[in-house]
Amino acid sequence: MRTRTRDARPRLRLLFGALGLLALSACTLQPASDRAKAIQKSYDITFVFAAVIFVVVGGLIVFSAIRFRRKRDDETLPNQVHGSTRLEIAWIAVPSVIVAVLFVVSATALAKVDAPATGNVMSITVQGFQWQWRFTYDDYKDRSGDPLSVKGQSGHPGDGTYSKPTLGLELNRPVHFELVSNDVIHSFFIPVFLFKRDVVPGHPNEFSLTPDRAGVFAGKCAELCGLEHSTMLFNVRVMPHQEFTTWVQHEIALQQHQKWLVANSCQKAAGGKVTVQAVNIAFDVQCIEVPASGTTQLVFQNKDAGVPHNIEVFTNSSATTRVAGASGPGDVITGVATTTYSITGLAPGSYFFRCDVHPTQMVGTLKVTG
Amino acid sequence: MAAIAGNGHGGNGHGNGQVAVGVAEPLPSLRTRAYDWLTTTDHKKIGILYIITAFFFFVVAGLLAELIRAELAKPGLQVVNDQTYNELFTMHGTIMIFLFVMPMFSGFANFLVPLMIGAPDVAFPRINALSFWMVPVAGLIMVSGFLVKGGAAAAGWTGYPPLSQQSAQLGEHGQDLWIVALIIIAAASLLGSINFITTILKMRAPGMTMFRMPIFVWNTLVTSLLGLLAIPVLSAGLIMLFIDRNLGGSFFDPTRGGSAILWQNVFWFFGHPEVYILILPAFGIISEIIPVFSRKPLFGYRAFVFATLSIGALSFAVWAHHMFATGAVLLPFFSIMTFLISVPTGVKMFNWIATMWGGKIKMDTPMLFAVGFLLVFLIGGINGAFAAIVPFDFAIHDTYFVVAHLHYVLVGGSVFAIFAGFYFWMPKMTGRKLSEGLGKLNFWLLFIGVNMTFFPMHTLGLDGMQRRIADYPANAGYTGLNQLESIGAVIIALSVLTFIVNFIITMRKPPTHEVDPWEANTLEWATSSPPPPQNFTQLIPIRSERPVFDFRHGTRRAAPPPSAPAPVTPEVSQ
Repeated sequence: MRTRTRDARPRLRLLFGALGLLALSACTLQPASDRAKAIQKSYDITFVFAAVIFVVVGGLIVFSAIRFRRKRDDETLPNQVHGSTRLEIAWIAVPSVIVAVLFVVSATALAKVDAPATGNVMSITVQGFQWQWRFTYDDYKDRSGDPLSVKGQSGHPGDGTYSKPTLGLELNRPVHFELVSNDVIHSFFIPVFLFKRDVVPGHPNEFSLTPDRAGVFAGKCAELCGLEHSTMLFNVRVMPHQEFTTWVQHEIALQQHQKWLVANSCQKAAGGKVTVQAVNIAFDVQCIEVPASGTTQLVFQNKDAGVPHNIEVFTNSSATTRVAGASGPGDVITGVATTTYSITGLAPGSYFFRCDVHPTQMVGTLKVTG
Repeated sequence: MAAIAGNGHGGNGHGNGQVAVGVAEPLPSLRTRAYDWLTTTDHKKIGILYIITAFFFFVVAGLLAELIRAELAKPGLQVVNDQTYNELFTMHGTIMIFLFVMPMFSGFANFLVPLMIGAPDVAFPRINALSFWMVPVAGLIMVSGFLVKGGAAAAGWTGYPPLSQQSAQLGEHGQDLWIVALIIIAAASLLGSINFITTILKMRAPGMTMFRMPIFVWNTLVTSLLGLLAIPVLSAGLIMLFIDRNLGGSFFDPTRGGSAILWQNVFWFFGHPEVYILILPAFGIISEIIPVFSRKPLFGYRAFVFATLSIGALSFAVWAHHMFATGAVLLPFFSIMTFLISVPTGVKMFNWIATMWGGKIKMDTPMLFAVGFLLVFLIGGINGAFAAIVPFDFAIHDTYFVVAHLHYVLVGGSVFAIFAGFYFWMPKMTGRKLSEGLGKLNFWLLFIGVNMTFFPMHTLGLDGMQRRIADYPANAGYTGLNQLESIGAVIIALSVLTFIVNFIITMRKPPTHEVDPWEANTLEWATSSPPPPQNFTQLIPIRSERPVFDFRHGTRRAAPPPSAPAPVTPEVSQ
């Protein structure tokens, strides 16, 4: 009997080892916001309960499986116990009390997480699209009055065009996030904030928090959103006030430069044709220019293997009245392939084109000159 | 002790309308046997057909999982591309749930329920055959997605729109095959549920009162009730999704007045009872095995029954805990209901331990798997409690922490119980006992493999590794644990291979036809192995939930059933 109980010890040590591993990983949480600290606290309390329950119940399972082994040739029956009302009440009551405590822990932390932001709040609109993010800072505008907007470029890390956007945040300044999507469901997830919220088309979400640790952290999409879900990554950069102000100025300057580039570089048709490529879920040019007279061939090269694209031209960005290009969302070509559309009979002016499969990400301007 | 073994051969084929099959009669030709299996309405054969079909799909979905683990073993895309990866985990999840665990438990229930309640068959044998044959048909439709343009469904086993609707615009129909297959499976499960409920309520042998039914039968009853109430909701949702994709509907399309969240409510209203459809039969199997090998009655039989009933009822009020991060549900209500449902589950855990306590435990393979189940399922219960803490769920939702939780419940729970059930009832189903040595190897490989594969997922989830990603950055710090998990997945594969080898070796040996090799408690052990058509010629008296135990240990008040030679029943073909 003595030797048998001793057998249980290495196994129990193994259980403690497993718990230690989980406890260690808890240390890696390193919360970086006020809300995250409240969440971390709810985790810590739950973890203590979980550890005790695991050790006690797991210990009882292993102990009884070892201690009550049948001896060889022992054919007698053990005491035929059918149950005990007192014990049943005990193990309904004790877990009920535990879950009541945990519910209070959960509700308390939830109240803190859900509390609206107050004070000098910065508003950021987060748009998830297939497959990157756009962060729009409604409080910071460029010279033409458009808000600062930081956008990533989808593709695969290592591709020429792929880029992760940076979500710049100010240390200790409350942020209010508004989450929108026009395509599928995404989930805006920043592990160091111990927080995510789904980005649902047709159902804008919001939440607030105050980052309280400076640094560069990982952000990601946590809801399966299609082909390149795993590359929908971004950086979160939490900066002290001065550094943040400089960052905003830099980003605004960059945005104005980009606008200038787009406004001043338009691909002109030559020899009766103009070529547009789709590469890594993006057009290679954002502006094309064709003469009003005659017919121009719009050569469209889809370089994305296995990905459908098209170009449909509309009167404006509301994309309600089609004027040229693909006949509709059903008219697509899957890469690698090339097709040609004709542009003819358009009055001079500015038109809008897009890929119907990626209507938020692949857009551009068609200029018709007279 | 030898009483049943000596004279318990129930069926001599007489008085039950069947042609008596003598021992001396030669085995019928392969063609006759194949015809017999293809047209059978015998619940035992249908049960075995279910089990073989389910095991086949277990291997298929397991291979898909091995490909997933191969891809994740290193950062970068080496084995498959993004599209194939999304198809892999979508089909892995869907096949494991709908074509492995559900049909597997239907198989056990089919084989066992009539035997356990002393009935000759289920209430509607032809409908039973119909619901079985729908499963392989649906399975083929589902898997054929890999052959069509654009590949198989790739929107996850939860199929959230609008993502699950996008492929329709490209003329790709893998997702439609997925929908159609699930609608067929839903119909089959619904028929099965009706059949089991009727059988259990109307066909119990004299003396088999409700509170003398084995816990496995109780759990099948509650599982069937859950199916009856939850599965039509899934069917409705699937039909709406199909209409959206193919007939211009807009139930779930927010750009045309639909709601993407509506699908999640519909899906999880089915989906959470479904979780219990996948685990209650496992609880039933464990509740049958632990008393037998502890040589004690189940501790707190009535507490078990009420726990199962309350789990069933509560399972309809917790669906939105899958949706805490959507910002579209009333969080405190679903949080408290989720906590509440852990109480009856805890009651079961304590009753299982109390059943072992003070017993004389024989650690044969079925019991080994049952004890393994308790340990692994304990972890699956505890890590689930973390997800019920709403604010903490914001951190771990859709990360590998949740993947760890659901695999501890479904592999640790359902798969361990299924293996326990295989080893326990194999002698009854085939007249042969699986090898104990290979069985123990099977167990230890599975136990080590499962913990090595799924435990590190907790840590990855806490570190923010999101689920359903084909690739992760090399500098994210996820590589080491992912490699460990991939090694674990190979060990799980070796374990399953050990089982297959064990099964083949056992089936090549002549049957021993042992009636009651484990000294068990319930009625299926009071008839021959395998049982004759119509199951029993005479029943032993039923005066408690352990009629065979009572009979063996001298509370024998009626004459023993007449002895008869073991009937030759066509063998299970691999």
